[in-house]
Amino acid sequence: MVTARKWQAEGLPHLPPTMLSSPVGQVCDLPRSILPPEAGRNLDRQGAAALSFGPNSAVVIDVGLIPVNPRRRQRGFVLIAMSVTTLLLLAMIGLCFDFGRIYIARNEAQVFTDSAAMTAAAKLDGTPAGVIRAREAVAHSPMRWNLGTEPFTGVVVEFANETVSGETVWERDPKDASALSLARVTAPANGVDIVFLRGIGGPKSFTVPARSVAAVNPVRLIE
Amino acid sequence: MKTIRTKHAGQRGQAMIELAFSAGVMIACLAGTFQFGYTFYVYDELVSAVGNGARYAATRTYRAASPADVEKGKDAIRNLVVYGNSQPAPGAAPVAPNLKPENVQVSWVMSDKAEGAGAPTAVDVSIVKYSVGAMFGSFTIDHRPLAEFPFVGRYAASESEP
Repeated sequence: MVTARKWQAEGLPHLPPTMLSSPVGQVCDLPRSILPPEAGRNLDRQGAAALSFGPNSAVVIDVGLIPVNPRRRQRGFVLIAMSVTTLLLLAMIGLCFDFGRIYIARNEAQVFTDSAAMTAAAKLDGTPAGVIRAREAVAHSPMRWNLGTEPFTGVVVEFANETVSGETVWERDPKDASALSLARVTAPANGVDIVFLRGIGGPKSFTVPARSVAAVNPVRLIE
Repeated sequence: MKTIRTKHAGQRGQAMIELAFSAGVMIACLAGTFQFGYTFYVYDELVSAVGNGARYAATRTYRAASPADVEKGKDAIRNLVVYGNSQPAPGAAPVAPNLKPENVQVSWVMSDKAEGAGAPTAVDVSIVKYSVGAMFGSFTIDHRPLAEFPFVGRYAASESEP
């Protein structure tokens, strides 16, 4: 079974000497590089062709059964596809796992600051001792973050007096405690360790701060 | 005519084996992703629910005419955590699958007093013995998430729960 196409040997550069000395009709392996550009695309380095030699020239015949399996040309594609898919899968897992923990931490921190701001506001009684009690009550909160495992650290408790003009000056250690009407709690240091997204260039840690403001008389959350 | 056999003909079964292994790993990854994702979602819902319940408990009237009234007040708080409503309609859906009022622990923090013997100073609300059933297993959540809010509501020593 021979295809119709033939190529004159004159057009074939660097024909191996062993091939030239082959008997007419011998089936030989032909490197792709020595075949003319118009040679069948299905011939490849591992392919073979029939050669017939004349007195001064040779004819290369593309043999129908020889074509290399077209899938062979796709070697390496699976590796690339698997690499890309694995990266995407890792990214998906990362999005799910890391973002899930980040959202939980943010929610935990927000509930904590709500509670702490109300606690601090409830302790304010117009005296410096009230300010100290407010700070201590926040410090002794039993609430935890990171799936309920770690205590909140670096919590900042500030106090202010709500002025008529709306200008609020927050102080950690107010000198005049008599007119304090606002308590603000900030939980700034909730750094969630990133597990998966770090592997594809994400940060090592993601901080999810939270802040709440509570007012007195009656004690209520206002922010 | 000589027919040359392609060198890949014997590798057809290998691709299937590779697919079987890689599909196993992929399915395990996807199942794990679902498992963690679902558990995180439920936990996040619980954090919000517990926070809302504790805020509600902190601002509601603490009626302490009898221990039964205190318990009735706790039931209202549990209902708010589980159903988002202190008086849920029959057949109301919980905020998390299979979450029941008995999975919610409500503790009044009293200053040197027993419950019902004075105004509480704070209230603790947490989830106890709740199992999150995902695809291939379950996680048990116990005593977390926990929210503690100061009691800022009205203290009614001689009132009964309606």
